[in-house]
Amino acid sequence: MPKTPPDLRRPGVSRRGFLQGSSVVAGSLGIAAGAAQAQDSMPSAEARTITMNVNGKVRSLSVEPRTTLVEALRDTLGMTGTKIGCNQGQCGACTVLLNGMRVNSCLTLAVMAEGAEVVTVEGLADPNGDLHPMQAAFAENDAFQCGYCTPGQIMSAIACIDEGHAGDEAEIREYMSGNLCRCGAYPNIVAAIVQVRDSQQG
Amino acid sequence: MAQTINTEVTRTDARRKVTGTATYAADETPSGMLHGALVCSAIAVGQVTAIDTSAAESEPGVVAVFTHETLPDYKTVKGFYAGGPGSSSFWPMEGTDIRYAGQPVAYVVAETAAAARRGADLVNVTYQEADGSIHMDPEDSFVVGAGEDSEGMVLTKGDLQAGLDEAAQTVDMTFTTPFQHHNPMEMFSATAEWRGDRLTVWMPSQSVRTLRHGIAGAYGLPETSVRVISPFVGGAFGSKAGITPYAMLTIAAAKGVGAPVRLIVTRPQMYTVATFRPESRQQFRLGADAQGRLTAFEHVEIAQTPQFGEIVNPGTHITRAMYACPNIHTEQRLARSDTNSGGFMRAPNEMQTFFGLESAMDELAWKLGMDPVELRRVNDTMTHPTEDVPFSSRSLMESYDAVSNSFGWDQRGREIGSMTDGDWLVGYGCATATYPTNILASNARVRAQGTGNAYVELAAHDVGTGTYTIMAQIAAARLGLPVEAVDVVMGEADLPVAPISGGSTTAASAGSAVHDACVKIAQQLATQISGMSEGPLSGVDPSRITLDDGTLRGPDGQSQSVMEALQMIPEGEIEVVGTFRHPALTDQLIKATFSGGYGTAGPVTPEFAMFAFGAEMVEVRIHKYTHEIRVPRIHSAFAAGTWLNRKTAHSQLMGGMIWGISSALHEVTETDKPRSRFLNANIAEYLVPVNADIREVRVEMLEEQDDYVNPLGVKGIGEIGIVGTAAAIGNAIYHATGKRLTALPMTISDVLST
Repeated sequence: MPKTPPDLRRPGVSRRGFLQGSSVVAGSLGIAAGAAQAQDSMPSAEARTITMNVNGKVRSLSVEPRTTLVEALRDTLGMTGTKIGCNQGQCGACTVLLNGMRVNSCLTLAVMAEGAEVVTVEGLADPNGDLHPMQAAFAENDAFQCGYCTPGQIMSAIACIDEGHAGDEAEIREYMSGNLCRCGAYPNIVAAIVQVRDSQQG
Repeated sequence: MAQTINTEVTRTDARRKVTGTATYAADETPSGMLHGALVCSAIAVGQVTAIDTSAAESEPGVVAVFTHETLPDYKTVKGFYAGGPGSSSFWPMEGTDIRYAGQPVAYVVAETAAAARRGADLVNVTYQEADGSIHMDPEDSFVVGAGEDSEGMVLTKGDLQAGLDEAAQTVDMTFTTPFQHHNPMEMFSATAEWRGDRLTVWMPSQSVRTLRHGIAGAYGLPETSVRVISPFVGGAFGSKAGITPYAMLTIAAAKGVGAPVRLIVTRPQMYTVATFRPESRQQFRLGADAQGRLTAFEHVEIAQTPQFGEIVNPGTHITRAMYACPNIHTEQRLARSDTNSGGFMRAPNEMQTFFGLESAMDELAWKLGMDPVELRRVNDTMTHPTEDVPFSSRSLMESYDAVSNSFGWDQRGREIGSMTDGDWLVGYGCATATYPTNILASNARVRAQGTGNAYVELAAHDVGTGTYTIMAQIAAARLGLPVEAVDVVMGEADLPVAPISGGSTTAASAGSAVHDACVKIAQQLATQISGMSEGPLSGVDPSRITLDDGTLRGPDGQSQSVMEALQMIPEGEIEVVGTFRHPALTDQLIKATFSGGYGTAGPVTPEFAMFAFGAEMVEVRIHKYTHEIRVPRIHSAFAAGTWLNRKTAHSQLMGGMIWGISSALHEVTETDKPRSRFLNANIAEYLVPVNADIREVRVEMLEEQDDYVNPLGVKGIGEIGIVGTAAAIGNAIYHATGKRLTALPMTISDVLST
C-alpha cells in the first residue's frame, strides 16, 4: 500500500507526482553534499565487550558501538541462520526475539542487547531434533519457496501468536505484514500460523 | 510404494530452510575474509574527473580502496544479449566513462562490513556531468535487427489493413509498463577466494556454469581452476543469471588485497548494479467480425534498451501465438536511454505484452457485446497462427471452463457498474495466460545403490522453485525408492552440465536428464541380470526388459525390483550420466549450453508449437469514495503437462499470480527525470505486496498429457502465473467502473483521473 496517500482533493497530485517532486529536492541535496554517496554509515569507535543470552547460552563478545545485532550474530558469532534482506529495517528477514519481543536485528545495535535474551531461528528446534511446531507447520504448508525470508517469518509468526494477534486470518495478515516474502508464499504462511494457533488452543 | 509423481511432496530441503541451516552464498566465510563495499556514481552520464581516496584510506579498518586506476586488470566479457555470459556489455571501472546512475566507480575493502561502508562513504568523487535521459523516447525507436529477418522481429501475414477494413468492430489501444526491479529477498553478494591461480566464488546464481565460463575467460584460466558454488539461492526471478560487474569487481579486489573478499550489495545499489525489467509501450490494433472472429491482429512492442546494448525480450513472438487470425502484423522495436542493461525479469516477454493484449481483447469483447470468455473461445486455435504447426497440446478453453466454474463467472453482472456491495463497486475480469515451453540440453549423473538409496548430481539450481525435491521425486519414482532415500547435489559448476535456471526450463530439461539416467541404469542392469544363472530375469532377452517405475519387467510377466536386481550384481550399484537432447536441439544449441550459454530450442519446432496455457479470473472491489482498489479473490486454472509435485507447483503458480497482483497494483521503479536515475531504490518505497495485500488465491491444476515436449511430459511453470494477472485486474476495474486503465501500475489516482 502507498506509504504516502495521494491528496484526493488536488487533482494531478498522485503518489508518483509527489515522489518525483521530492526527488528534485533530494537530487539537489546530493549535489550540494559534493556528490559523495548518501552518508548513512557510522564512524568507528573502540570495541567493547557485551554479554547476552543467545538461544539459552551466555555469550560474551567484542563489538563496536556501530555493530548491529544481526552483524554480531552473523559475523561475530557465526550464526548465519538470521538473514539480512535490506539492512534498513524494511523487510523483516532479520527478525529475532529480543526479550520475547520481535525486532529487526538490523535496526538494533548489538550493544542494545547487553544482558538481553536473544532467540534466533537456530534456537527453536528441540536439541533432540524435533522441530518447533511453527517450523513444522511452515514445512508442511509450503510456507516458503526460496527460504530466505523464512527465519524472520518464523520468528515473527511465533511472536504473532504470543502477542495475541492471531485471532483470525485478517489479523494474522495485518500483523505479519512487516515480513516481506517476494516469492509470494503469504497464503501458506497464514495457513501455517492458523494451524499452530489451533493446535495450541486444542 | 506411495505415488511420488503428480502428488504433494513436502520439500526435501524444508528442514534446512526452517532451521536456518540452508547455506546461502553470503553465509560462507572463508578464513581471513575481508569485506567489500561499492562506491556508486552520483551522476548518470559524464566523466569521473577525480577520485579522492585519502579519507577512506585513513579510516580505521579500511584495507584498500580501488579505483579504475588501481583495480587489478581482467578481460571483460560480452553481455548476455550479445551471446556472452555478462549481465551487461558495459563494464564499469574500466575507465572514467559514466553511462548510468549508480554505476560502480570505486571499491573499498575493510576488516568489517561497517568499516567498509564507512570507507565507501568517505570516498570523494568529482564528476563532469552531461545530459541524459533515463526514459526512452518511443517516437525514436528502431526495429531490432534488419527488418524482415529470420528471427521474426517483424512479421506480416495476410493483409492487416484489409482485415481492419472488413471488421465489424476494431480497437486501437496503447499501453505502457514501467521499469521494475526483481528485488529478490536475498541481497546480491559475491565472495571470492584466490589460492594461487585457483579461484573459488560463492555467489547466488541461476547459472553457475555461465559464471564459471565468464570468470575463467576473464582471467584466462582453465575452467577447472574456477569453482562456483551456489547451493541455495534466496530468490532470483532473472536477476542472478549472468556474471555481473559487482562479482567481477569483487574477484579483482580479492586478487588485489591477497585475501578473500565478500561483497554484499546494498539494497539501494541492487537497483543499479544488475538488471531490471525495461519500460515498454505496447500498441495493439485488433479487428473482429460480428461473431467475434479476429480479422486483424497488430502488435508493436517498443521496449527500452541502454545506449550500449540491445536488450531484446521478444514479446510479439508470444502474443501472435495466442489467437487465430488471417491478417497479422507484429514488430519488435527498441528505444534507447541512459541506464544499465535491462534483462529478463519473471515472464520477460509475457508480463507487459499480455497486459496489453488481454486488455485489448476485453475492450473488443465489450464493443462486440460478447462475454470475454466466449471471445477467447471463438478465437481459440489448435494451430499456431503464424507458424503453421499444431500445438503439441493446448488446454486454454479447458482452463477457462475450470476457472469459470471455481470462480462463479456466471454470477458476473452484464453491465458496467452493475455489481455493488455497500460502498464498494465490484468488478469481475478475466485474462489468458501462456508461457512457451523452452528446451535446453542437460545431463545428470545418477548413482543407484542396492542398499536402497540413490544420488543425483547436476549443475542445476533451486532458486525456490523446488528443484531439489522434484529431481529426487523423478529418481525415486523411476528407481522405486522413497523420496527421502534420494540425495540431490546441485548448485556447483563442476557437476554434470545442466542449463541455466531461466525460461521455466529446469524441471522439463534437467528433469528429463535424471529420468534418462534412471532408464539407462535399468538397461545396464537388465543386461547384467539377464546374463546371470539365477534370478527371475535370468536368460531373458535384455532388449525386451522394460523399466516400470521401480520394477524390471520381462516379456512374459517375469519381474524383479530394481533394488533387488542391484543387490545381485557384484558392484551392488550402477552410476550413469543421463542426457536430454530433444530432437529440436541443433548441434549449435547443444554447443551453446555446454559452453556456458543459453542454447534454447522452441517453443516452435518444425513439428509443433509448445506452450503451457491457463486462465485467470479476479474480483476487484473499488471503494466508491476513496477509490481504494482491493483484490479479494483471484482464481486460476493452468494446464502444463505433467505435474511433478502438486505442492511446490501450486506455490510457484500462486507466487506468480501474486507477482501479477504486484505488477498490476504495486510495482514501479520511480524515476528522477532531471537527474536520470531510479528514485525509490529500496524495498519500502518500491512497493511489493505485503501479507495484508493478499487475500484468497485459488489455483486449479488440470491434467494434460503431452508426449512431444519431453519424456516426462513436463512444461515449465515458474513464470506463467504472472502472465494474465495484470490484465484480469484491469478488466475487472473496467467492469466495476467503466474506466480503462492502460498504464501499470494501476493506482487510486488513475481510477480518479481517467
